[in-house]
Amino acid sequence: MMSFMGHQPQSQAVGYTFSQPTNAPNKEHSFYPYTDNGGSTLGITGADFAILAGDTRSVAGYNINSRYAPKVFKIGGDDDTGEGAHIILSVVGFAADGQALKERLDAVVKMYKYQHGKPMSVRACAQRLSTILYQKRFFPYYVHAILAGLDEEGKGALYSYDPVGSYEREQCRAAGSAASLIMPFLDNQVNFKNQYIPSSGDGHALEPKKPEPLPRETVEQLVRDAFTSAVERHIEVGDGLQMMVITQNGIEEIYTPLKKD
Amino acid sequence: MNHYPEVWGRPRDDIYGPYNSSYLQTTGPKTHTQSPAVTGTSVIAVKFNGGVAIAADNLASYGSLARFTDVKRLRVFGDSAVVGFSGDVSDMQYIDRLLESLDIRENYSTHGNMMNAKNLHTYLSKVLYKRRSEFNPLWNHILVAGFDEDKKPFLSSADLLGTTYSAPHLATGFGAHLAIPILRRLFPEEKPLEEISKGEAEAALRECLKVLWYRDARSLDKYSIAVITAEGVEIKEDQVIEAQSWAFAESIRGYGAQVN
Amino acid sequence: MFIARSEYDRGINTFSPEGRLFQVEYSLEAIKLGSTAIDYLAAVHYTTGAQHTILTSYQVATNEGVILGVEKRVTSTLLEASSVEKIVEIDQHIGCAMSGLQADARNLVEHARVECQNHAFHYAEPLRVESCTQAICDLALRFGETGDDEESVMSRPFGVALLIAGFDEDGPQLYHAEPSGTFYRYDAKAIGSGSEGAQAELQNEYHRSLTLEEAETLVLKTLKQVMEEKLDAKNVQLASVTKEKGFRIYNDEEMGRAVATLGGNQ
Repeated sequence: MMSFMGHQPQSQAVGYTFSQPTNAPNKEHSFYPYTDNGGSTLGITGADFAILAGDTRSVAGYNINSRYAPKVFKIGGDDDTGEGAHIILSVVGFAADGQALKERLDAVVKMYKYQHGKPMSVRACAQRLSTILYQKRFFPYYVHAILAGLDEEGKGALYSYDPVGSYEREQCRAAGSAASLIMPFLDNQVNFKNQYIPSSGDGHALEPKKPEPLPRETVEQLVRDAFTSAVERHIEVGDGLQMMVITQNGIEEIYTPLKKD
Repeated sequence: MNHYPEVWGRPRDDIYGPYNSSYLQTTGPKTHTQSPAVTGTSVIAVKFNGGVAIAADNLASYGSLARFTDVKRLRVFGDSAVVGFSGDVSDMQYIDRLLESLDIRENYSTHGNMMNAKNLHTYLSKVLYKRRSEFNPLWNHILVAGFDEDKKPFLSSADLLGTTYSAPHLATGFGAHLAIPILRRLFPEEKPLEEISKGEAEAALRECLKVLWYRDARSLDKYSIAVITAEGVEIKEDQVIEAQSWAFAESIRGYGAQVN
Repeated sequence: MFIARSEYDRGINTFSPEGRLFQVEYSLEAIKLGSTAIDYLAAVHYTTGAQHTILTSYQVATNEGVILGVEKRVTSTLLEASSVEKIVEIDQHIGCAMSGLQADARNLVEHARVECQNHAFHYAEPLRVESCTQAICDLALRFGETGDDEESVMSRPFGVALLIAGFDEDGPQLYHAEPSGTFYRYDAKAIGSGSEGAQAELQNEYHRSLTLEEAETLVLKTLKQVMEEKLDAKNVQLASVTKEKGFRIYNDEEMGRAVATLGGNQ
């Protein structure tokens, strides 16, 4: 009976779509599996240390979920406290993915030690993290990860990642919501971009200041300055600053309050 | 009226707009839950000296319809943990069955170590994260209250995406907007837990529920409240919001007889 | 030992009342006896004297490595000797010599190669020699009935033993892997037919301060003593693993030189 309506030409302008076959487009998935939990992280290396830092605020839109949700983790430690670890990881972006990624890498590093009878090098861990991220290329861990430790020569090593595993060893890197505020500051203060040796020449002959590894006190102060500044200008950053410093003596964790507004 | 009796009495496109027949579709991709159906609103909880208090009202809404008015959204697990559910009620009942079988399993293996609230929260957050990763989420935001392995008060949240966080006071849904500011003012985070009494915590939750009842259109004045201490879980499921004052409503534009 | 053996040697994974797995024991026999692919080989692990664990010093490290040697039993004058492949490369830094069913060895070697490549891909570093040996032994033990969710593997134990030589951060290493899935590390090891005599010879002659040339000579001398045919550059094969060059199989010229040196020494 309804098919009669379908092929019968209508003489009137009045239409009756209910009788037509269903050709409406597919309903779109309304479930979006990601959220942005905000916050920022930052890593800097020195000659014999590496620092990873992150604020401790967790947000959902304009809500503050928690004022203490750590973003920097010890990887491959012997117990729950992370004692005995020699690699640290920071994750910022979608916190649930960050948590899952951290737990997975932790398990991998522990298994590596059992299987190969030696602690995993930061270089090996960096490559493994890349393959873990890339294996989820089509449903990515929505995080910006930074991995830090000491390399085979005892120098500070820092690796930064995009969500699908592209990575690079760097001297410093800021990630997360305030990355665009912090990174230029780091470029200038760590890599001495746009800094020149006074009266070394005119115009193009002016000699750029050469970057060199900074002492730990300087780096720690840079991190604090970077975050106190970011807090002023970014609403998703604040509450607390968690810093992990990795040296040959182990990992030191430092917490300092930030503005809670 | 036209000459086609088949369409008499049927909605005309020029009047009612084209008929949306997409829901009749049987082909196309397999779809999971796209949105919750019967839902519970806020759950609120706060830590105090020696325990945690958690509360939620007894309403299950179907859209704007107050569909069920005696739904218990606090679920006791073991002898010192409570889970508070907001979001989809059928998914809550599924998780309830999950917890039931987990509880039975735990009790059969009588090793003495009952799962504490922290273990329970880890478990539930993994369930939620797994389901979101399968694009088949359990549409809930839950709070888990109880103790950790060191017998310290524990309160943590997990949502349908598997996101987890903990704080001295937590609230889901509307509560995150309306209850959290009240709780933060009453119990600032820098204030030590030892200075917050059980009575203060409980009273604060009741006060928050009242505010929610005033301003959350999907809330109810009947609620459940659970207080978890070392002694165990004390749960009251037939509480009523008392000492209401609707005097403020007079000043609200558009309320009652006042139209503009 | 042979009493009631037939009762318990049918099932692959059935223990005898004395606690033995006969099929596994039979597979060990396949390495020593039989006709087709069974042969003899010897390997010597040599290092330079006192500093054999120090790897950072370059000039010391040049003198460290492992020598592998096999007899190629050329059963016919028409057989192309170069097609007898008993020493193979697993990775740039690991190689192995086999004794037993060569076709079975291919499975193990293929597995080891994949493990090495996988490790390099995931960890940007070479796989350790011990881990490689462990990976081979893991596969060696995956025989018998397969479960529903397991991938299908061998229905019987592998009838081959391997001598795995490699170089990693712990220096030169030599492992012996058996069909039973067990492995041990050796300074010098002989397997296959006539291995008893060869092992005794190695025991007498081996010392920790062997040089590369001395190790070559020791391997060839040991082979010569247990070989039925007269040893020449065609019926033996040598390979070395060193820090500088990794694993490499000797070419005809190098073989000729090594055999000539042996002749000169005697």
